[in-house]
Amino acid sequence: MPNWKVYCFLHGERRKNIIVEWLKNEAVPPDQIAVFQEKIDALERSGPDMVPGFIWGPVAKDIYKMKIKGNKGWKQLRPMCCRGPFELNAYTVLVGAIEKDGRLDPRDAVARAQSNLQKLKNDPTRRICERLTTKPEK
Amino acid sequence: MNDLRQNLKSEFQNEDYRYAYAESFLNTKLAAQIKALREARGKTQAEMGCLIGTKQSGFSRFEDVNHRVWKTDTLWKIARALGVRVDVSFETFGSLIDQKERFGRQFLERPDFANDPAFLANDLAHSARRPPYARRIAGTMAQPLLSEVPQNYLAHERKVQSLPLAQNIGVWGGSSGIAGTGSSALSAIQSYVDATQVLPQHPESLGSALLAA
Repeated sequence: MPNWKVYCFLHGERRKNIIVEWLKNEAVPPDQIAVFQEKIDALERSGPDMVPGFIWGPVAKDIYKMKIKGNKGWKQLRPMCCRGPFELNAYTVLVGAIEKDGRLDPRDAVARAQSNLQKLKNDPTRRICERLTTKPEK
Repeated sequence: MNDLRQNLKSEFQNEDYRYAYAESFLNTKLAAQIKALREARGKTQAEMGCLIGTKQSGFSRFEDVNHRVWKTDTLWKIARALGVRVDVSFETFGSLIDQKERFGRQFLERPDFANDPAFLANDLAHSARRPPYARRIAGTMAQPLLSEVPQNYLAHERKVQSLPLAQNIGVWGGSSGIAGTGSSALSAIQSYVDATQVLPQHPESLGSALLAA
């Protein structure tokens, strides 16, 4: 059984999974999503200690960066997350970001993450624990 | 069926997805295992770097789950520094799911050569003092399972040497979280095996078998 939980922030009035939507908007291919999901699965199984190099930081107050490196030509996924914020053995992914030439896209990814963290603290129901892709296309 | 197994069974229908997931898991497992074994040996990254002929910064990249290019000669150097061996094999995707479910520090840890149960004086698999069930149980243990033999395994081994035959299996029962005398545990296992024709594969399932009996 997993010891840790990784949640995704639900944004907007329709409360959509911000990471699933971001992956779709960025047209991230299934193989790259697989790498991201594998790191999350490992994190949920064993905690950050046994997934060294996946979570970096803090890059700002309470904000950490997830590093998912990939093959050449892949987008360098750097979603922002926080620990908890309501329990010790959890992370919540707050916003999607891509790193290119040492810069984040969106540029204000960290600020957005902090803003979403505040929204989450005000409304603890704004998060969900689900797979990044439920049914990848064959 | 648990959630992870069910999800992976569905997601692995996509070929690109399953190969990328498997490659990523291999990288995660290697990085995590190097870290787990180094910590278990009480070594720093700098000490490990020194042992394999690189700097701390050079060694630290092997403990990064995003590291993707592994050279076998480097793996052998790391293995030698940790007192273990390297194994490379082709496997099914089903076995990946099994490994993923058990992933964690305990799953990754291995004893070094000096503490390898296979090379101890009264080796578990060949001890003449063992009842046949215990020998057969021990003989079926694959390496990953061997790592899950209780951490106090060596203590058990020493204890076993001084016990009469009937109580040996009781020690095994004890290591499976089962309290009980040797003779009752032995008969419980015998009944279980007679009824099911299935041998418990390792101490945890042995414990379940005893409880079921």
